[in-house]
Amino acid sequence: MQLLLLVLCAVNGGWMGANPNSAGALGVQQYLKKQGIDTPVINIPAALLTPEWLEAVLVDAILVGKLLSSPLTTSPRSSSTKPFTITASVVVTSRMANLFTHSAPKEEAKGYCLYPMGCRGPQTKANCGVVRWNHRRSWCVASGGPCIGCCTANPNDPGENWVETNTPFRARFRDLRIGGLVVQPEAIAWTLTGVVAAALVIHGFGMKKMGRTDGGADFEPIREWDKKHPSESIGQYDEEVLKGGK
Amino acid sequence: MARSVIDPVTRIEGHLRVEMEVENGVVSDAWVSGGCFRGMELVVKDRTPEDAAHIVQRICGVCPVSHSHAATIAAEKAYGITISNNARIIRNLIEGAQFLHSHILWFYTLAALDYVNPPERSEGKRRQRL
Repeated sequence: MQLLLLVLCAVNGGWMGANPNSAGALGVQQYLKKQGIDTPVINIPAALLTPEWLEAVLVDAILVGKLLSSPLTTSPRSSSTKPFTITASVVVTSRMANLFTHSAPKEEAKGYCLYPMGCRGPQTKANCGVVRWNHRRSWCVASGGPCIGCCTANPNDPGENWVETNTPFRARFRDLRIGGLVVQPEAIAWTLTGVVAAALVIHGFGMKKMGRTDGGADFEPIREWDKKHPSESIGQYDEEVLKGGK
Repeated sequence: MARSVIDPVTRIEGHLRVEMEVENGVVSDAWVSGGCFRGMELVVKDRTPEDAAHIVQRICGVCPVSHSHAATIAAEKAYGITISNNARIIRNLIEGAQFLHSHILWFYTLAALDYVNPPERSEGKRRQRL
């Protein structure tokens, strides 16, 4: 028995599964695993689905018969789920970054790229760039809207949803959520730097207190070079220095 | 007095539960409640208003633009932003397009089955052909 799932929310819980997930949303795959039901699942991770995409998967499943090897299929039966790849039969997924030339040639020629505005195109696997929307009229990036990556799904981590992964949508800087805690990468960097600096300071004071810095390193009474070239010697150290040394 | 419950009410956007008290074949009292909790307010919390406008679109597949619009207006009120006239016109055009889309989608996928019975229709056609 094959299960065909259409909408993103059924794949991984969608935005409902995002932190704090107060509704306890689960993807169907997760739910089946939780219930111990062993059924292969086809995930089509699109918050909105083009008919072309659905047809492509159906053609892949029925005519080609390579359901379990298709890129968006994950099966709880086999632990090794295949990562996203482009199948030979139907191009279901492709990297949007490679498709800018087909979608917005004018803007591409001018060198416009929405990536600095937080466009998730390069890391999102969907066929929006090829198929486009509204009878192949346009799609988000072609109309100047940075992709928010609403097709995000990870076959190896069925709980990963697009809201959790991609917010804030309009920034390349992202929230890192550890449980209920929201932290920024910069905060982690500064914390680590602070910890290292504090450790060095404490280490310094400890060394001082233990007396291991007292007097410094051993002094040599006479420089090595001076020993070899007595005629060019600049003389002995001061008495004060020698007293301090050993 | 009999109690009748319809849960969930289908072919609407979301899920609804209707409880009715029926007396002698007449509904004497009724309660309607939306029982599907999704936690949108809590998901949007701690995120930027820009993100909220994108997330709240997914409340409803029939009227996504309106939710985005509402979230945008709320953010603008909070920040005290006044939009330009051109922006207002563009937004209203998008909202108008959304009206069209929403009505068509609602009629053909949600409401049409109340007015049309496909099996009956096909049977009638077969009879005609015979």
